[in-house]
Amino acid sequence: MAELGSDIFFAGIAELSRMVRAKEATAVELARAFGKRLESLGPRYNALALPLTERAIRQAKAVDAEIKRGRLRGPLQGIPYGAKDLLSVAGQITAWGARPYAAQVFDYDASVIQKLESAGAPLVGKLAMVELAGGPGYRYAAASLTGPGRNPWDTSRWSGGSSSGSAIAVAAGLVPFAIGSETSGSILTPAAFCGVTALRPTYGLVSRYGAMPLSWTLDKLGPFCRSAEDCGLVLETIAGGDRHDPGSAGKSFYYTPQYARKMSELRIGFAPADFSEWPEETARPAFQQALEAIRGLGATLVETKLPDFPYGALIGAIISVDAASVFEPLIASGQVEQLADQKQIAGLKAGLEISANVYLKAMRVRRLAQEAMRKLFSDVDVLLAPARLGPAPKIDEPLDHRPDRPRPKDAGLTALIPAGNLAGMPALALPCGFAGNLPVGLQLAGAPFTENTLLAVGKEFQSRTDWHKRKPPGAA
Amino acid sequence: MKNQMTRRQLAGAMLATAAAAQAPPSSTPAVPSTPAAELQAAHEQNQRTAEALAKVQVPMEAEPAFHFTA
Repeated sequence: MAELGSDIFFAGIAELSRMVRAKEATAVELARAFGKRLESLGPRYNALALPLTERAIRQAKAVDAEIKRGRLRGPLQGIPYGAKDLLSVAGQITAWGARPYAAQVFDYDASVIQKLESAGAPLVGKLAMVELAGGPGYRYAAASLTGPGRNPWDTSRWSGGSSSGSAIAVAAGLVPFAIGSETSGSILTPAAFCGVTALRPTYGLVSRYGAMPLSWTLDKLGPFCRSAEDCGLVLETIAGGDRHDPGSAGKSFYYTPQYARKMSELRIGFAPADFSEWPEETARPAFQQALEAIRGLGATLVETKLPDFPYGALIGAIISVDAASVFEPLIASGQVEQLADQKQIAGLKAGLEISANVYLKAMRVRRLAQEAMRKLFSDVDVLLAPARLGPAPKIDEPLDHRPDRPRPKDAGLTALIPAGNLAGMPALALPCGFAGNLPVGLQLAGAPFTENTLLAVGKEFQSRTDWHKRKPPGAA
Repeated sequence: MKNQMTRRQLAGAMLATAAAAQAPPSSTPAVPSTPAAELQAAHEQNQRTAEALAKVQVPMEAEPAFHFTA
């Protein structure tokens, strides 16, 4: 068999799967090639938490034996991947990106790890993350056991978090796909900053069994990939009911692009201010061109706005209380002081003192917000907005003290990340251009369980643009 | 058990939040320099959160958005 070329590092799942089935590459060769690349380039970006190349090669040998026997499982068979280090893998360190848990080992696999193993996907490494997935908030990119996530497009810039390693690894061609998590922004933010496609599924669609809890009614797991199509293939594999997860919706997901609604039948809600006033100056041309590209798909674009709720306060209260409760033993033991970020330490401690009244008020107002969002989706099928309003910040910049800019009068959909998470909505992040040498991205959000609609719009957008195919200069 | 809001109740709750949302943004405070100052800042943030939520009127029948299955 001929030696694998470097093209494989940026190939999509369908192409790699075709190569495996056509015996142009074996699962072992792919696991070895990606594992070696992850181990050699991962540390450059602080993307690697734990290499698992040898384990992946053992998995891949079994996969190759199956393929030889003619047992074909699906498109992920033989495709290597990486997983955010908040997912347990039996017998391996699962540090949650945090010094107090640096030696933590579980004796069971998370459900998504099990599902991907059953699909024949070898796990080549655990990927870096912001400590405790960001907890109630953090100030610096360096809030991680592995150091600040460095953006493959410019290593002096942040990767975004908390799924930093997952976004970096896909952007730099270290893995074909990765699993990350989002409580409020931890998938969409790093995907936008690193220029990759990623999906935040509907709450409850993917089991969180074996994942670090941060906020029980907000935590979600989802894929980082090269394209919307790849996100559909991965989601089909990892979705499904799970009695081990009390939040499980008990639903499966089947990626069915063949049954996608016509673009001309879709109504996409947007706010002009999100594209012309809110973005940083350098990012506006890219966002405005992306809006025109979406308009060119044939869907009806309608101006809309989010129902008026204090989304930031709502999600802040809920995450602060849940996180403080989850990590109460860490706080009580004093080991919380070992965390890297002072703001996170203080936020966890202060979260213990938020009153039950405030928490319940937040959860009751959340119910109203959820109902209002449901009504909004009787008028539109999809909401469209920039995933982040500008490119990645500098790595040493305080993330919560960026320069003040005049705030536009129209709030637009700027609160779509907390609003979407509070309502359990799915969202798709799509690379849509550059601000200077740094990528920026769009988000498409939909009503719960409308992933196929979001993926159809994303696939159509990516059939007409090539932003998702761009490669960072140092990683190409 | 009734979880659906009437349109009137929902409109009332949303109007109440409009006032909260229209409050002028406070200027960015300095980065706290000590752990004690950081903790104080976290408490102040929680206070602001509580104040923002207190401005929202909630119909009595609105249940918290918990998921519980017996």
